Amino acid sequence: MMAGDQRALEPTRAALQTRIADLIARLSDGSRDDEARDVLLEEVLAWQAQAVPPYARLCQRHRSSSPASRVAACRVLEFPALPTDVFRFTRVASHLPSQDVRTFRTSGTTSGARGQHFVRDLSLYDQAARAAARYALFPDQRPMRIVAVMASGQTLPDSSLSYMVDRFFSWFGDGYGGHVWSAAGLDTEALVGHLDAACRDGAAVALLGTSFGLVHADDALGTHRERGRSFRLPQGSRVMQTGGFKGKSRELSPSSMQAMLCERYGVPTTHVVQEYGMTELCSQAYGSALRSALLGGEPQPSDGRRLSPCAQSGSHAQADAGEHSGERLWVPGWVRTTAVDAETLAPVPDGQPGLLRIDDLANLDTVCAIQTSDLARVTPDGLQLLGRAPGAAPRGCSLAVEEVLGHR
Amino acid sequence: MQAKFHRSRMREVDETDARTRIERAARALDASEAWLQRQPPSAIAAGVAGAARALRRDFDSPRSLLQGRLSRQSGLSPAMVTWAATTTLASMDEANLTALAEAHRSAHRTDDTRMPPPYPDRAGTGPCAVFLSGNVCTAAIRAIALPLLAGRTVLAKAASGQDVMAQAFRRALTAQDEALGGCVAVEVFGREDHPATQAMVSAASVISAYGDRDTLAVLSETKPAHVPLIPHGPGTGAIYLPQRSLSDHDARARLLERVALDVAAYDQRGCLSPHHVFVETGTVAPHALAEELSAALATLGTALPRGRADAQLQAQAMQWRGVAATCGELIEGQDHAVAIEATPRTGPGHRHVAIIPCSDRDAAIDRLRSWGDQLKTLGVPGERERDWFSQTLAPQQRPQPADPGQLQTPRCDALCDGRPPMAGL
Repeated sequence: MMAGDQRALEPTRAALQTRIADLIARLSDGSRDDEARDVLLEEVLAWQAQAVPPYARLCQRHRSSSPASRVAACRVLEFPALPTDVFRFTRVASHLPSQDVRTFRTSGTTSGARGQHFVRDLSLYDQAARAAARYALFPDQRPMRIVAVMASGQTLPDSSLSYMVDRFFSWFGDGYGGHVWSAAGLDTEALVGHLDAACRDGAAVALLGTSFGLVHADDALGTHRERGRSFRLPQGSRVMQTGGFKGKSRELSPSSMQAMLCERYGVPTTHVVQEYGMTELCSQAYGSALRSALLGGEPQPSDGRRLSPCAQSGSHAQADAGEHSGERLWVPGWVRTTAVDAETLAPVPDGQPGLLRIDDLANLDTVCAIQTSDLARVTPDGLQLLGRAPGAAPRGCSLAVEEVLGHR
Repeated sequence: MQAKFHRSRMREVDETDARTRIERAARALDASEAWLQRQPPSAIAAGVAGAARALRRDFDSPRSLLQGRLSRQSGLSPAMVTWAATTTLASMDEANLTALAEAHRSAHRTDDTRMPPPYPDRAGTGPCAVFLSGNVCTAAIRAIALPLLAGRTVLAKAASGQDVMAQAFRRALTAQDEALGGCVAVEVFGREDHPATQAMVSAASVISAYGDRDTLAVLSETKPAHVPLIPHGPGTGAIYLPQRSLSDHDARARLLERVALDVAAYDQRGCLSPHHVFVETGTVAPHALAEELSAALATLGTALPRGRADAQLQAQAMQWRGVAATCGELIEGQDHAVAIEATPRTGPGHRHVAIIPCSDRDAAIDRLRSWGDQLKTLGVPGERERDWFSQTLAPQQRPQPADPGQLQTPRCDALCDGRPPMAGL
């Protein structure tokens, strides 16, 4: 895209950004206005169809190949969703590289190419992340002792998760706590030190970790100084678990993981919170049990849809395809979720499994409509993610085609 | 909890059974080994070829039971199963098999100095343990036939539900010659069944394994040090089309029909399946070529329909198509897709192929070199052009050269992973 083209689109972008920020602010209390969300999504997608070159190509192709008679169930769905893999192979952004303030990258795959999310302005990301976390992870609105079992943004500057958790320290932290994971791995003594100090101080802890980080911590604490260590963290403490195991630790089923965390840290099951996010998105979804336990009542349904953790190449959260923790995730009101047919990408009927499409209004400078490879089921009661789409056909000797190209 | 415990115990019982069956089968094979080694190569070749002919007759029958079972097992369409089975079985030609077996038995080594060094001799007596991969439903034929021709009894392992062809071939051998059939045993167990795997490799004098890197790594770690492993690791195929093969319209149409067959065969599941067609740039534009290849795939799709896709494959295809549509060009058919892309990337298979324009054959070979020994076959029209590629690629990277249309139907004496087919047996 030429600089001149971008200048012409700039006034619209500025107006959209204001309206998105206003909507997020309005819905940050968990209320919903799906009509307003969809109207704004349509406008943003129409703008992105001009401003984001790969999305413009996809839209052009979509228009020319879609029969005129085909009418989507919702006008938002008349816009195609950009497959997440596109982020691995080309720049997806409405702005010039010189305007990037941050680049988030997905974790590596066997083919080597990592998805890249070029961020021009972190204000919408911050607003969405803060509002969602305030609603679902820190609904009690008090400073907490944050201990992060993951690398900091300084160690992993291209991790969106590390960036977000760094921000949590300033938004929700009590000024103590810290990261207990560095480039060298888990610092068990620091973890024990932070948790012991919190117990002494009577400070409720928010222990935030990746799945593999929490498993490593459990392994290390289990053998700590030969006797092992467990904790009964102060009342109100919670654990946020996110991300897959990525082959970096032993794998636990969601229910085993939850049981392990409750036992090791002395928190109730309601206080183990799943977080679901993706590098390609600016918004996150969270388990709803903590908020319900702390404030009572059910959180408002996400337009009747709820997320549970799943596997995705760029996703923070991951769950086994065959087993689910059963915890419902709350989806922010500025995010739309749809299950679509894997071949036609048309919405599937209620109750049928399909691939998850996510429309995230906070993705102003890339593309709001993202097509994941996660299998989901939509029912009148909500949305259930079924994990990564399962494969039945054996791949055998052709499995490593990915590796053939990845090892170039 | 109760059910879980019960399932766990059941699995334990199954594992014990598999190991016991393998040990029993290995003892039976030991008893057959002396008989097999006394047979002249021509007699074994005749038995193998006879069994292959009998199986072909089954597939030729409109009421073939095997066709339906293989189709259900593999997910390939019935027509594709018949094509795959009949072309594979046709390669079991008695004269070629005899020549192959006699050459192996008389030399028991390779004199071809261009070849990589042969594998170490097998260790003592005992069967050849063959670990079959499940992605190509007919692969068991060649994998079982070659050790037999080398005078080795065969203890073959198939994954659960993936043993249809191996069992059918064993039965056909038995029907042909009971003693010859007694030289083959087929066992079914999962890759996580370590006791069974251990029993297989412990009984073997040599291991021939087809599959992914994890499978090969496990076998390498599990096998006794003195038992050689012949690894048939993962890989892919590719095609190169020089401009001169494309200039004549009719000849180009025929060539693209053959390329379409290579792409469609086995729905691109095997290590010989091409996922990329390198095209020398010139008078025929890549877009026109892609359109014509798409048309050829569509025509072929009526005779050899594509099979079913599982959800994972559909998701991969969706992602692949999305990238092609945004970063390159994408031509979509009913049950296939052709992309034009500057750089090769992973394809999902299931009849998704990318055209990679390149300035000339040097540019193509520069890219293919980096694929190493995972480039299993290379389709190039014209013998001189094929020879140039064979000679220009490094000795350790010796893909099976093939004329387009024949990438997936290698002769029984075709190179296998760059080596003579019976090397190490």
